[in-house]
Amino acid sequence: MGGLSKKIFQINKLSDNSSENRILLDSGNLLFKRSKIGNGITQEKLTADAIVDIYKTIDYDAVGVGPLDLSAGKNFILQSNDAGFPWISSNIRDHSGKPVFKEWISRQLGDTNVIITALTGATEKPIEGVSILPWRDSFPDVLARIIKNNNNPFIILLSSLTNEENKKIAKLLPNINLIIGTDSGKMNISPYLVNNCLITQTEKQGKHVGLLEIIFGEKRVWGEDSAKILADLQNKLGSINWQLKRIEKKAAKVDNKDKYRSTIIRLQGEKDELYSRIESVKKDVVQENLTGMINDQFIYSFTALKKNKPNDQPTVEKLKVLNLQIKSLHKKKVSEKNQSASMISLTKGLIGSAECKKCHEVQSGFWENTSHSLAYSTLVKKNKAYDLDCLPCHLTINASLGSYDVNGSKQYLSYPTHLQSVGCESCHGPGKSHSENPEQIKLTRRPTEKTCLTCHTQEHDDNFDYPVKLKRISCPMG
Amino acid sequence: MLRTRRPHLYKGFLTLLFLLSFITVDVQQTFANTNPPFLLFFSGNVQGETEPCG
Repeated sequence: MGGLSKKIFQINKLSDNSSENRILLDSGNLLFKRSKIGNGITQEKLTADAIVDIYKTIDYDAVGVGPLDLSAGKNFILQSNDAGFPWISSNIRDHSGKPVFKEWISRQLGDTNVIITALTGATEKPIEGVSILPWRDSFPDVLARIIKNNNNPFIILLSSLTNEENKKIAKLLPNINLIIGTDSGKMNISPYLVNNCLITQTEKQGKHVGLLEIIFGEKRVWGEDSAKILADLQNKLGSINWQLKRIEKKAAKVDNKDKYRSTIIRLQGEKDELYSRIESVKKDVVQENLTGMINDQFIYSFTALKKNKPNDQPTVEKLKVLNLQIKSLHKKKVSEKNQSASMISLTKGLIGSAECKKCHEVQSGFWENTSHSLAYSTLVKKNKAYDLDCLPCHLTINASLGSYDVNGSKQYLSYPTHLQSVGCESCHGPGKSHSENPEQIKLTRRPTEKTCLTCHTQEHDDNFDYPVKLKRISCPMG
Repeated sequence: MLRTRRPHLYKGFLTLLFLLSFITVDVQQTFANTNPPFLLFFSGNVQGETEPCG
């Protein structure tokens, strides 16, 4: 699930391809997954450049700098910043104490002045040339300057702090109207109010796009449209009056009085309650008409970017170019290959599915019809057979190694051909000793859930259900 | 003519007009304070993901 081309298709579709009434925000940790990115040209840097390029094509309004966006160093992110990419952070400073990025940007939406600012969470390791200030030390001052320089602004904070910290900010600084977070431990968070601040976020790794449809009032207070509430309440009252009249008619007949008494009392109670609510809402409506000030209102939705969602074609083309760049980068590395000690450890004891077939023909025939056997060819088809993020889970690797070392494992690029795809030994373990001594040395019959979860993680496979999937791939006996 | 010759039709017609007037008022009330909404799209923590592997 997920994908930039699906996200951009949805954004364009939902806003009728018009950027006039829309605002595009990303709260940060956009570029990298890891906290340290190597020097020189790497797959991760090429990917980061492509993401920046794609975001620019649809005119993102603001992107908060998250700690992971600093993983390739200050100079890397400054290249896109200097080229006009809308990075913002109010608490990243250089050694002289000056802000490295814009502290906030403003965007006029109708009569409303929308200010977008950002707070960057702490990095795992210090980043050369920058310091990230704690929000308590820096942010109140930034906020005071925003309020001083702008008339009745609607303030949005893009935050890469934890959800708990965001709540504290909303409690302490009541002028913020909306916080969009990036707490990686959290899934989608439906908007909730803390004081008068709405807090929300999407799940990590771009699996959803969030949408808030906002009608700006003038009060800078979240609420509902009182005129609409009043109309709804009056409709309800009309319906209760009608029911009451019908019941009272029935109750007027002889013998029916006791039968309908409790219903009449209940309806009468509901009617009285509605009357008092209507009176109170009427006062709000009068007040709103007098002052012309209504509440800010919103509705929200999260669109899951599932496999069957359409793609934005220009983005698909850009990603194809990226795949070719990665291929070209890594092909060079394959030509410089060396069968290192770590490669020997990765493939230790593995013989490949073709060897298994010699004795287990029925089972091998079954395996050939599973998606495991097509795992590598799928990557080839998508031009991703050189993608280090994808490769480890599309090869037969010694399952006893536990979690695959994805980081910098360029050995995967020159992996032996007979071990490409998820073979028998991915589930049953290395087969060399078993093939030499089948009676004495037995392999694991059924892979544990832990083995499957090495690749079928929440990040890669949202719908993984061990018993269901195990049934689907279990080889026939005999 | 309708009033004298077909009193039930006449009453029905008046009732219909009466109900229609309510609908108009309701529609006007509902849209009285409604400007078109602004669309705020948001995401975060994309972490370098561009597309699923396969």
